[in-house]
Amino acid sequence: MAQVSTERKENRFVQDLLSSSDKLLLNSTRDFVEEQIMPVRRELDGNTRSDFKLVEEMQRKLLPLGLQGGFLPEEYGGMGLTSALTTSLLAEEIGRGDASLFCTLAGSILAMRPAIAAGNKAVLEHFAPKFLQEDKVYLGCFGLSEPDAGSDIENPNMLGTRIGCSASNKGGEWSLNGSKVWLVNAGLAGAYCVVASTDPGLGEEGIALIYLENTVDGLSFTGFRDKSGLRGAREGDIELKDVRVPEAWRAAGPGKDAELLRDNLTFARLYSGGLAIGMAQGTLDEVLAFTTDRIAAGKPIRQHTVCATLLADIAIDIQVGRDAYINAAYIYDRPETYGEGASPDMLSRASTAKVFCCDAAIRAINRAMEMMGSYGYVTDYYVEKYWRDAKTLQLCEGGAQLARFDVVRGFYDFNQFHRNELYELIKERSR
Amino acid sequence: MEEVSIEIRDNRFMHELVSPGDRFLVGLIKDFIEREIMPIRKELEASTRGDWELMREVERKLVGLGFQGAFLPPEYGGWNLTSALTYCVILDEFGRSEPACIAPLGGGTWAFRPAVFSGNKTLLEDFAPRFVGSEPYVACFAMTEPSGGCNIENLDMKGKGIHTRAELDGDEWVINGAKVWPTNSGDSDVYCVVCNTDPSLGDDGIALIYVPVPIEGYSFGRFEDKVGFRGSHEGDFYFDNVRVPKEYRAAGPGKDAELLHDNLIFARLFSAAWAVGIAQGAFDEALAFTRDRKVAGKPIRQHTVAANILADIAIGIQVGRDSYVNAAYMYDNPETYGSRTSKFMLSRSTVAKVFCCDMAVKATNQAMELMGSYGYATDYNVEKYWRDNKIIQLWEGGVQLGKMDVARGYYEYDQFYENNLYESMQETRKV
Repeated sequence: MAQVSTERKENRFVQDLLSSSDKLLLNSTRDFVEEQIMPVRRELDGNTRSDFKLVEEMQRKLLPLGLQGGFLPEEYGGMGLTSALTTSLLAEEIGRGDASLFCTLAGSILAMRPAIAAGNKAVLEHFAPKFLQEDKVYLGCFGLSEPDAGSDIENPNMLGTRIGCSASNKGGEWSLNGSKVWLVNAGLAGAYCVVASTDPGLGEEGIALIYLENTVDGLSFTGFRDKSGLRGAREGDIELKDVRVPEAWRAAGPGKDAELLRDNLTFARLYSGGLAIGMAQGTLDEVLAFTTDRIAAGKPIRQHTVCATLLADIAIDIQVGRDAYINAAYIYDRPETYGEGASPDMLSRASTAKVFCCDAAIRAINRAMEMMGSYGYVTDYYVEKYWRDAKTLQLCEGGAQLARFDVVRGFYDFNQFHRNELYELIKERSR
Repeated sequence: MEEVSIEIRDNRFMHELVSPGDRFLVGLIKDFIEREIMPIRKELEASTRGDWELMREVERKLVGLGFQGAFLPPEYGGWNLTSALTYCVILDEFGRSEPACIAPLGGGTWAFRPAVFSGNKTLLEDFAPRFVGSEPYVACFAMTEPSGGCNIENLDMKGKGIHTRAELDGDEWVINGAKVWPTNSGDSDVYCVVCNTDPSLGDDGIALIYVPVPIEGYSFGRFEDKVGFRGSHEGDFYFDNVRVPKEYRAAGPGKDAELLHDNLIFARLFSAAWAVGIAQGAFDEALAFTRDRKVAGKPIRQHTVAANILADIAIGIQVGRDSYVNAAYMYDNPETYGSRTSKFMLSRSTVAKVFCCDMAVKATNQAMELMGSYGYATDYNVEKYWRDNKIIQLWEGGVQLGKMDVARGYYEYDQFYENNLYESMQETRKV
């Protein structure tokens, strides 16, 4: 493929926001993506319709980059890689190659972040060495959604009352009961962090993040979802029947766990922004190449004014989205200046990036497909894969509409259960 | 109006990009705006349909703030204020008030940047003292012509769209031609005129020549009557053998073309910020209105549908603000990000302009929808934001040319790309 872009890659973002170690990690990740992932993208996706052997091999190949346990604190052997900016930039790089690979890594990060933030020794001492195995893929899984409650669990207005998974303290042990659905890495992970409630009547104080290991009695895996996109990141459902774990395996405690949950949601919104932009960038690269080589009405497609403006629309969405997620992640990483990560302001800012980037990626990929005609729809050019992958990103983590509620919460006290006297009056009358 | 937003306003900008000096300046301007402009916004615009007295008074007060000559080098009495980012954050603040009232003052910066950057001593010595005085001194950057609006901005035209001719006669330039639509025309004391010394020279023929008025051979037509942005004057004027000293050309062949492109890029950046400010103003109004106004038993903004619309406005504003801040920061640091007039920088700044203008058009429309007919009444100022913003989208080449400039950052886009089929079709049609 000839050079398709005059763009200087290092100018894609404000370099001064990145540390030199970030740049180093980013470069080695980019090299990995170019050398290992790009040439086999199609095969990787195809493999998810059979035995996943190629996908698992790619996960093993990623191990030398050190990302599997890189997020762990240095005293536990990790790299202390907890920066949202670093994680989001990695998401973009890997997302350009195969977003599913990043989602698999992110499952581990989300599962372990609460224990790291809380400094929970019992959990870290037990699980950290497993993530740091240099030759073995070891995954974490963060268990949030439930059969009866998708976005109700993420929604701050619900105050934890919709969490059906129960945790009760029985003689110095937690006993967990309930079921969880749509968990990334379910059935594959060694470490689970489950969102439970000690008592829905307690509101947010009842929220408990509790760790368990895949081998524990009472945990059963009920199967993978068959999805349109992000197929390499397997998602599935689990059931918990009187699963017993040590008391010390609760991340922190009442109130604090709710905060850790919100913080995790904010963090995930940020890297989702990066991941979406990675897909859109991958698409732009494809469509720039296609429209160079393909001639319509006497000249390359991209030399027609209508296509130039369409390509510009894609580029605008990508650049603006990238600025948004990078700036938001940078702010998140500096609570001393910009406020706490779990604050409504920060959730709003992060959700702004997530909502915009996901919508932008979907818009951009659809436009790219239009410029390529039916070729955009065949697996040869990979655009259709980006198109499938991007959609699910928009839907996860509360989806597009709930995330917009979180955006406005940064600007006013939005409350879905705002008192409505007229509602009460009308109900009264109809009785 | 009580506090409508719980947003931390300081967090709108990244402190690491917008300097403490800039933030201090913005604070001063914000105070001025709250005190002198916000209470009389409606009357201010009304004065542009009458005797202009009130608008002129505000403009004089602005000169009193001492910014008029800030763009000049210190040895000429200025503060060396050439940072695009500084101008951007100032215009963001003005956008919310009466966006056009800053145009007479800002004209000096735009018109004299070429003289400042080329270090033209004659021009600076002749004109600088007027700008640093306490009396208003208005300048105008005159670009557009009757036969070519965006043909002048269009890089592919290589100056061929410029019909205003400048010919050297001894020690003087003799200028003939017509200009339409320059901001501050008719009100200005001095013009920077985009001329052509010889269309066959391509970019080397482009000349930026300064013309103080009144001067023999200069005549002014009439002011345009516009739907919005009424506080700034635009009109047409004519040069019939106007003579100015040879030294009044900014720099020389080639260099002048670069200074023109630089000015265009600079304007794309501040236009983006202006549009964001306007959208912010409409958002603030809509937040207040939807708090006080009840529908179906509760405040409008407590309905999920309204919350989602408010979120869309907020997302557009924040993402747009991130994009112009990042782009302007890059423009201000050429040692890291390359020449200020590179195609990359043209593209990057235009990404911000196109996005922010489209966003503000959408945001002001959405704000109006949330307010129903009240949004359309002059009492709430939203209809004014809606009218004012549209022109920013249309100026400086408009949306479509802007998108072509975006595309230029990604590949060699050429509107006159060779098309053999075109030529053979012309042959066929002759036969």
